Amino acid sequence: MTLLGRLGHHDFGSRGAERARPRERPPKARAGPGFTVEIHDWSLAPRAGSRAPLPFAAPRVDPGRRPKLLDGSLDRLTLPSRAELDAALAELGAPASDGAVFLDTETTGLAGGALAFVIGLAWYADGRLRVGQWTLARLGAEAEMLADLLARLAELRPAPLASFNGASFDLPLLRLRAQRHGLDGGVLAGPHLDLLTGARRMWRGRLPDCRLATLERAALAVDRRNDIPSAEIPAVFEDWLRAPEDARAQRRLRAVCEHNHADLVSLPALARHLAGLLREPGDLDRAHRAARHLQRSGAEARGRELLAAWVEPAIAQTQGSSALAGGLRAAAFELASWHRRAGELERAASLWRWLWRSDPRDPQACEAWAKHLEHRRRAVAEALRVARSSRIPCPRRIARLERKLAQAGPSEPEPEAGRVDDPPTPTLEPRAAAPSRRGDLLQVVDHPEGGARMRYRLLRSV
Amino acid sequence: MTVRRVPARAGIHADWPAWIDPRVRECFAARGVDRPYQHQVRGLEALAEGRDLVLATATASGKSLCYQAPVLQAVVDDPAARALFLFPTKALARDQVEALRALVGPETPLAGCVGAGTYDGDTPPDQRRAARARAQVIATNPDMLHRAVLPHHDRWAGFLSGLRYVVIDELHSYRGVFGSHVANVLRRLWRVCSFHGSRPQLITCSATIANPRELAEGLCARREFEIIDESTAPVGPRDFVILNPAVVDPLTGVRRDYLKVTRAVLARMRAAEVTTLAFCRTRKAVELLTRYLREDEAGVREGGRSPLGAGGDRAGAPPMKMKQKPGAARAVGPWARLQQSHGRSGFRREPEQQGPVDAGAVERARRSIRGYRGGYLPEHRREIEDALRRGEAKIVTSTNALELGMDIGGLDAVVLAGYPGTRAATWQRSGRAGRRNSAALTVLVLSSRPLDQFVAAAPEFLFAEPPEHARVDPENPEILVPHLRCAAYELPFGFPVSKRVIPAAPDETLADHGQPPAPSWWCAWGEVEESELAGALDYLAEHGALLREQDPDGGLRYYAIGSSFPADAVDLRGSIEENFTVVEDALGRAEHGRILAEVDFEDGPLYLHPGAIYPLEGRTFEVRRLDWDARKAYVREVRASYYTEAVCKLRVRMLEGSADNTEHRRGDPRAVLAGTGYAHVVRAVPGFKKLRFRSHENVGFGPIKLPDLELHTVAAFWGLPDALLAQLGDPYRRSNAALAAAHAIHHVAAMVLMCEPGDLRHAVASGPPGPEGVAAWAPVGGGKPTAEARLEASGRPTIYLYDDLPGGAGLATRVHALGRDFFAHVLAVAQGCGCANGCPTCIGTEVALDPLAAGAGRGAGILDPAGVVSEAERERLESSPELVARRHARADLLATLEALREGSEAASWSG
Repeated sequence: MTLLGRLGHHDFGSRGAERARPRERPPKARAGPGFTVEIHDWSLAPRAGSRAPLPFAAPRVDPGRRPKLLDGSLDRLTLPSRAELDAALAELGAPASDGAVFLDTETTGLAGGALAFVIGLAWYADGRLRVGQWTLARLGAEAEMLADLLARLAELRPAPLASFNGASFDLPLLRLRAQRHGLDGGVLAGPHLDLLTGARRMWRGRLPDCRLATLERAALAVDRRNDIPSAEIPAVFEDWLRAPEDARAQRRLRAVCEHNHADLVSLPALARHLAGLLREPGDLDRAHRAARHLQRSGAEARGRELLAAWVEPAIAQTQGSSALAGGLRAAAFELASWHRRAGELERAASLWRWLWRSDPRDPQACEAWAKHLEHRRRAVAEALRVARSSRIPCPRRIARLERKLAQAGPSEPEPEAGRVDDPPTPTLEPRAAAPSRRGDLLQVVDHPEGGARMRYRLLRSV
Repeated sequence: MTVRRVPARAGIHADWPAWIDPRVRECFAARGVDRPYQHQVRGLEALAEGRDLVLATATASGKSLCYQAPVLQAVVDDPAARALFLFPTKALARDQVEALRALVGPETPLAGCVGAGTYDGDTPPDQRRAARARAQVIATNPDMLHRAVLPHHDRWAGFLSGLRYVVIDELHSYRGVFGSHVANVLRRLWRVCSFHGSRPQLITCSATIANPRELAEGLCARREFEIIDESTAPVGPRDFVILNPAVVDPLTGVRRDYLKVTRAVLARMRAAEVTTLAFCRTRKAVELLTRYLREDEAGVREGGRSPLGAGGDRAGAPPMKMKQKPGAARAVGPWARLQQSHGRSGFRREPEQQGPVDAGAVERARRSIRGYRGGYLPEHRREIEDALRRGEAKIVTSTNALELGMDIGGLDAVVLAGYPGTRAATWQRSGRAGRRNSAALTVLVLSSRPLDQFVAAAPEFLFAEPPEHARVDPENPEILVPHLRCAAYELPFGFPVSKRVIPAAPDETLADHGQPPAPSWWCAWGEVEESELAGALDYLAEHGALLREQDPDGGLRYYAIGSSFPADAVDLRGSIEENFTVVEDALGRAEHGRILAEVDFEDGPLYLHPGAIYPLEGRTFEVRRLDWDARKAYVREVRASYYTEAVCKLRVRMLEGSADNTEHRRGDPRAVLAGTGYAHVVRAVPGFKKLRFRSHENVGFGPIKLPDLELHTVAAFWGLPDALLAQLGDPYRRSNAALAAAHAIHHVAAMVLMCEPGDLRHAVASGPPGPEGVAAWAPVGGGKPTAEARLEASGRPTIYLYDDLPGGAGLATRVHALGRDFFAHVLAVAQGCGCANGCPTCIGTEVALDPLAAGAGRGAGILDPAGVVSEAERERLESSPELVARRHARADLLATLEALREGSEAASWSG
């Protein structure tokens, strides 16, 4: 019995993924171009306008013109100039910033065998942001499309290649697909900046999630309209392949292209905004996050000074009273450890001292301050007192300090730095009182990007 | 009782082939192998010639050397060489990786040269990455290959491009439905290897089966196999004892329960200090046997409350009279030791020793008697295997989980509780004893199942016949289609217009080098003709299973599209539902939240319903709560004096399929209306019984409210022909004949198709399936049909056989296709049954033997359907109406089978 004859007995409706799928007309073999490339130009200044894609060869210089996209959602967005962007990317830790290229892909899934069916690039040319989109029309043409894209990318010499979550998704996926087709994906291995890293550090916990659309709304005052949800994207291409003539499938494929387009356009603006936050965080929490980001992306000194500029004056003003918020204490702890690592022990010590004095039972503060007293200032008696004041006293430290004290005898020399002050009696009041004072602590500020949106900012001084 | 003895045989050694590096030889010498056996050298030389290898020699004949040596040699020659080891289970893979690591241990010259790692569901992600990147040898299982390796083959490029050897151990376990899946997975592997530029050589190892070459060729789609099936390794003498439990009731032919006999046999083994592995057919049997043996050993019962009563336990007495055989005194080995220890009565405690039970004895029994089955957690299994190796465990009762080549050290004896179903499995299990050239003993205790009694009646069936054929059917559409989708997802199929290979980058480079395009992965699928494959793919594309595209130059390509892996929707072992975990629920104690065991999804409602007693190596846990959606059962340890058995109800609906074209035989009263169709099976578990340990008496009942399981599968049917119905005039006889015939067909079909009887089910209904379907009655665990079902079946009884697998695997349809030959086989088996009066073996357990209906009512009681009845016989018959009923049932069965044979078409295709 032949294979085909046996297959005739197979019941296609009875199992598997095919069951729920409506039975479409069997797809006809398709010929024609394997992929399409579309180029759009975006003026940097916000102005409502809509035009069909411009021909790549001869872009018309017409500032203020923008393609109509997502119902005009991005029309009011101001894009950074190339110089601004280069500066911003440098600030965000890009290894080289001279002609960045943004990259974003739409794929047939998150799984390993998925392929990118829309690949978008955005770069600056002739004082505009130019967006190029490669869209696959035939699965068999993936190799051609990738080869074309990689050639264009190599031409543009991205410095850096910037993306949103590209480090763990888009780039590995493209590399795997290039490898599959025996293409040289070397250009994908060049300098890369993933904006998601910085965005996560700045916004995780402050926003419901760190998806691009959420960030746009919060940071760029852009509210996307008629955008296709990301979760629906993988099925779009599949549906279109099955029924390329179907109007709905075509519309949805268009929507995916617009989604990709919008992602690419908002990335430069997001980069500028992020860089601005690193320069002027605006409140202590942001300063802390920004400093941490700088620390982790190699700019240790800058991060430390940024946080110090926020923490040290605040401490000076709250001297003697308990800390107003956990945020300040946490920032102070972290700053102290950075100071210690940088060798600025006295600055660290003043932070520890403040931390202990503002809450003398805090085990972390006790430990840090007692350590410093014991090992740096050799003030054993003081260290013992501090260690004992902890809510969770460390018996080993206390035993060791007691031993040292006994050895030294009563004639212990006064510590050089003079007597350590008695801690004030801890007050229980601030935490309870905080809500009633919330009005004083918050201030309405204008949005830096000029939008009519308002934000609340935690006041630096109380 | 039948005893066979196979004498010992000395081994023949030979020299290492010259191409084996001295460093490799040294590694083996360090493990005590100075010179290989002759058959091993033969295998190595075949590999050097570039051929593939099938090792089909007996257990413990050094098969692992035949793949370890060439793999080590390949790595010594080229550190980039890679080898893939495939084992059917995770445990075996781990075992072999350990063995390989020991082989290249720190003191050997190859220390640090060969990395080996497992890659399975238990491997943590970082170890997976390390194994993928660095290990020369990766041991995994077909499921993992199917789900984790092939769909991500781009990430495995380094490994796959260096792949030099693929080792497939336990080849014989890849048969039937599972084997057909694995065969397709291997075809996918060959395509992917070809894409990455490698063509690995194959080394396969199999237990004794009749057709190792055929199986290897069918499974691997390769032709150049060298078969090594004669071992030159030394073996010790081996005794094989077949024990058929005595008939307890001569009237009905009911035999003593085989589990009780097994228990008594094991008791004697224990008394004679014989390390024994007992294979049971079911997990429940393992648990019961473990518990009973421990209680016997410790002298307690029912959770330690009552000491063993005097004479209260008949099961402890030896059930068999072991005659002192002449020459037994001279014999050596466990069998001889057993016979010499004849006078001791197991480990029953003497009455004067009764009293408070020694607490330590319970603990000792727990260590020396172990249970082992699938469902135990991996570490638990490791611990038991280890106890066996150390010699701490004296008796281990196990399911087939211990059948495969796990190294469990030297065992003296193997007891098989029930015929394992195939000769191959019997020899495989029996081979677990005497691994170290010492004398070995196998005791086979037969149950009253038809196949078992067939073995009892004709032991030559076991000894003289060759082991069964292992077959795979990779082109079974039910199996092939999903795998073609997986394959197209991994690498699309493509057919150029001309013979020129489609210009894609990897192939261009191939063409540039001027290499002959060895069957390109574009259009290769095992040994299927290109044109035939193209036709099949076209067919699939037309049905929406694949996407067809045309290149500008006119070539066709086939893609599988979808956002998830097609591989995720295919499970090689038949079930795609998540299994249940058994979690200990003991608030406030350290054990709280501990995972105790795993239970397959299908078995969940049977074993884990609230109130169920879940036995675990002699301990009993009560299920407190079953979280169906989370697939978790919360259990608490209890001292139960009973175990539970779920009552299972099947509702079967037969749906219309295609009946044979019997136009030319219309009107022929002997023609059998046969055909294939679909079965819709609903399994409900309405309640459970509580059965007391030991006496197995019913002490309670409880309801179960759990979702029903549904199954859509394929079925074959045969209607009883008109001529036969005329002969079986009354509906009572008709239904009996149909039930008995269904029983026989089912069991013989399992034998013929080399599947477990559990892979198939039978049902009986009236008439052929219609568009609305016809309700059928199917037996569950030897239950009897209701009067209603009986009436239902009596019109035109139609026998149904269906696959007990989701979607079916074409088993029933294959039986149907065998046609007349199959019924000739069934008839021969039924006739071969030694009983004259009809026993459970031949007529099954479902026929009604109601004396009133059977004899007196019809006035046919005295007549023997077989012919003349002697006067003495007549008197005996008159005194026992049930005996008459049995005789009638048997005669009707034979008549039915004969009619089915005569009325069936000849085989429509061989397969």
